[in-house]
Amino acid sequence: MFSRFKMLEQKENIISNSMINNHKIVIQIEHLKKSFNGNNVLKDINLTVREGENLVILGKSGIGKSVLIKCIVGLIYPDAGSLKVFGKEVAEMNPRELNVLRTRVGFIFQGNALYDSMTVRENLEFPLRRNKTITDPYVIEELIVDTLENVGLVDAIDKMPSELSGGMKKRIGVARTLILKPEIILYDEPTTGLDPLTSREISNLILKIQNKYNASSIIISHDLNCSKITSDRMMILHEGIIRTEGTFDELKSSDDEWVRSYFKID
Amino acid sequence: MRDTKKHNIRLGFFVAIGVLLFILGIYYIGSQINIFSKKIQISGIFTDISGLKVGNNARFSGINVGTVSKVQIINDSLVRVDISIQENVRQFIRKDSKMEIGSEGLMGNKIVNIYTGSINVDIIEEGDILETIEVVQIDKILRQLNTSSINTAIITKNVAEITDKINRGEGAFGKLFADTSFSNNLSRIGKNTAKLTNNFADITDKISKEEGTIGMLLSDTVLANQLFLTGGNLQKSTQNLVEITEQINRGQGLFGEIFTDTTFTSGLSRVGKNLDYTTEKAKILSDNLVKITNEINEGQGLIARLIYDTAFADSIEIAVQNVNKSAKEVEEAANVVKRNWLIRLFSKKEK
Amino acid sequence: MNLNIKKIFRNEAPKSNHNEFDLSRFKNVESFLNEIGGLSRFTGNFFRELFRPPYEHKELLKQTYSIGLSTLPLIGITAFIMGLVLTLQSRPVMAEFGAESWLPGMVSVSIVREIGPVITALICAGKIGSGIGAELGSMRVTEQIDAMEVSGTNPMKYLVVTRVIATTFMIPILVFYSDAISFFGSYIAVNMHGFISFPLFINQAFDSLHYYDLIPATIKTFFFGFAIGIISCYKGYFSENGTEGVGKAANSAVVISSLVIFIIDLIAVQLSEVFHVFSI
Repeated sequence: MFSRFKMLEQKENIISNSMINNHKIVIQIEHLKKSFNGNNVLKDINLTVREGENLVILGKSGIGKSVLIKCIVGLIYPDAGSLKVFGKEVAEMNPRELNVLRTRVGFIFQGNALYDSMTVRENLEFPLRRNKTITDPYVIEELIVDTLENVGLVDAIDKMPSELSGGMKKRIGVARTLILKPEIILYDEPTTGLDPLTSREISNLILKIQNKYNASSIIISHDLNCSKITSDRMMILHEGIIRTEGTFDELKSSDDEWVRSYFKID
Repeated sequence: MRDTKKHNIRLGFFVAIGVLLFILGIYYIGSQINIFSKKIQISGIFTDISGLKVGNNARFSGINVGTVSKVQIINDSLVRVDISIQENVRQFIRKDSKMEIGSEGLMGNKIVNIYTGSINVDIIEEGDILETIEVVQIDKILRQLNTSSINTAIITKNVAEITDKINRGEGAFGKLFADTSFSNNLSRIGKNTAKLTNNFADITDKISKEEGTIGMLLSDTVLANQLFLTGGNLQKSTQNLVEITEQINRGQGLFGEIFTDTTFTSGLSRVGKNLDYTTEKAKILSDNLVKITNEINEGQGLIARLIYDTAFADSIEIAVQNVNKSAKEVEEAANVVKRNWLIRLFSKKEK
Repeated sequence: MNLNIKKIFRNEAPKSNHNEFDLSRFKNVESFLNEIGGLSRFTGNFFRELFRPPYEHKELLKQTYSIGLSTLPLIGITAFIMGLVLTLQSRPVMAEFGAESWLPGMVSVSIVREIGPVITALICAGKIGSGIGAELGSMRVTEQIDAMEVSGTNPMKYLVVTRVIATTFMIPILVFYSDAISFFGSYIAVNMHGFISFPLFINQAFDSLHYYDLIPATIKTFFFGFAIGIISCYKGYFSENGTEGVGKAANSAVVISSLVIFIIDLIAVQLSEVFHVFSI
């Protein structure tokens, strides 16, 4: 039963994939460079993300995948190159424009980054109160419950983050991003540290969100299962450049031995 | 939400108490240095403020009533000290109150003492300048006194010699006594001397009886000047007497017919009388000085305060000794003169 | 690109192992200067954010509560013991000079001028400084600070400004408490060897105090508070290297703020003299 469901999803993906090429570009990165202490992490990155597509960036740990998506929300500024989100250069945005951008681009951190000192409710309220002009507590409450329903964790509303399991934290992290209804969602290693079952749940959640909110996503991962479920398109980042690009199946059956080495574990 | 409110109330309480403590501190310190009470400004002019600083306390009857607010040099010898005094003690300070610089405690913080004035004088007003008590230069006066007494001693010696010679009827004086103008002169000088001694005695008498505060008396510059002047005159006149009597002794003068002239003898009698008076006064003077010095020695009375160095005390003692000695000599001399047959003879006649 | 470079500087910590703090670091002049430069820039950012709306009232109140009120019991106990011990220690010397009646005055001056502010600030540097250092450090390490930034909240404003304001204004208030409680401790100590009524004690204590004792001492406590806040926030905000970095951030927050408290005190002594001259 599960496999049938999966197949159905993949089918849908393929259909949407063909349509996506006509969609407008939401993220465009050209010749992006970034180095830390003379260590060139990103050498020359070129990529585009279209509306409604899930892009998985595969790569080993510590090669600057996180740096790349942090550049997109302006947490890190590139040394050179152009990085346009919704057609606007991120590095040239003023703080107000940056704030607007950040409401449209959701970021899900590797460690979830839930605020320890706040309950789940307050965690979800936090971005809401600061970015939307909603002040009516009933509307806020409704939105929170609604979003928690989407991630299936309404019960946890009054819990503290320390009381939650890893998977639950991840879901709350996702919910906190979703509450602003972002147009682009950036996932930083969403399945790291989770058991295989929970990983699959989270991967499916990502897919579900994509369908429900019609959001574009960049998913940084080294988890092949996750990539397989979520990706419309994949890229492999290696030594500061995008080495190769294609769908999961294309890459898996690549002629290049080096590319295929990434899929060996499966 | 309720939790936040509870927290806020507690926080408010905490901050309010904290600020209250600070305000209490400010207020308490303020009440100690009286920063909040209304103040008036008075001043005093001193020649020496011995290290008084802005912020030092001003005391009235031993109570802190104000602080020194300004110290300003006004010319090469005078310093003006401004003091802010609490308005509520103004009613006790009179316009003739005096200021003095003293020191408080062992550590010797300088303070300004304000002394009570006379009850019938007006209350001080803003900007008044009070009289100040300076350390009077008494040693100067004493120096004069000393010279005078030495002179007096010489006079009496001379007079004694004269009368002795007269007694023995030594010739050279025949001419001398005939000169009336001389005897008148002598008489006048004697009179003056007597008057001066009188003044001097009066002053010292006042001091010894402690009429008023001695500090005040000595601080009174008018009085001090008077004393100084008197001393000067006394010195001058005694000097004159010395010269004259010496002249007589040396047998100078051109007068031979004295014994026939009665005016002379009556004049001489007057001289004797005056000399007598002078002697008496000199005695009182020396007595007074002895009393004062005793007091000083025993550390009694207010005058003890005036003594700030031993040199001063020494000079007083020497002066007193001299005066004492001279007074004795004057007395002896006067007795000799009185006993003189010549004068006895003529004085009867005069009577 | 010019703009970019500016932004890079503004948003990123100076690149060095600035969490470590030991004396050998001072031999490395470059890293020492880097530290100072980073802290100065951080302070500059603090002031820029301080006056720029929006203001985080709620968080400020929360921080004020946790910094001010929760430190009070600790301060209270220390202050009481401080007043007690100071009086007991000074008593024999004063008694030797027969100046026991000066004891309240002497103790009050030492408490108000020096011991109250400095001891309170040091305790706060320990308690509050390590708290802030560890809290912000762990927030940095677990990307909570980044999360805050991407959810449209300026972490500088939300985390740093609120905490620095809270320390700047709470430490003086804690010092007032500390002074008052120390006086009480001193009163108890004086009464261990004799009897003196509380009003007389207070009169004697305040007799020796002047505004030039209280005011400069109070002004310097604001600087103490500011130093504790800004240094601890800086250390926490730029902590690195995971959990280890958090520990180091907390540690160096305490060490550096304590050191800076003494440096400020040193400067304050000189400036107090100036105040003394002008205050009369």
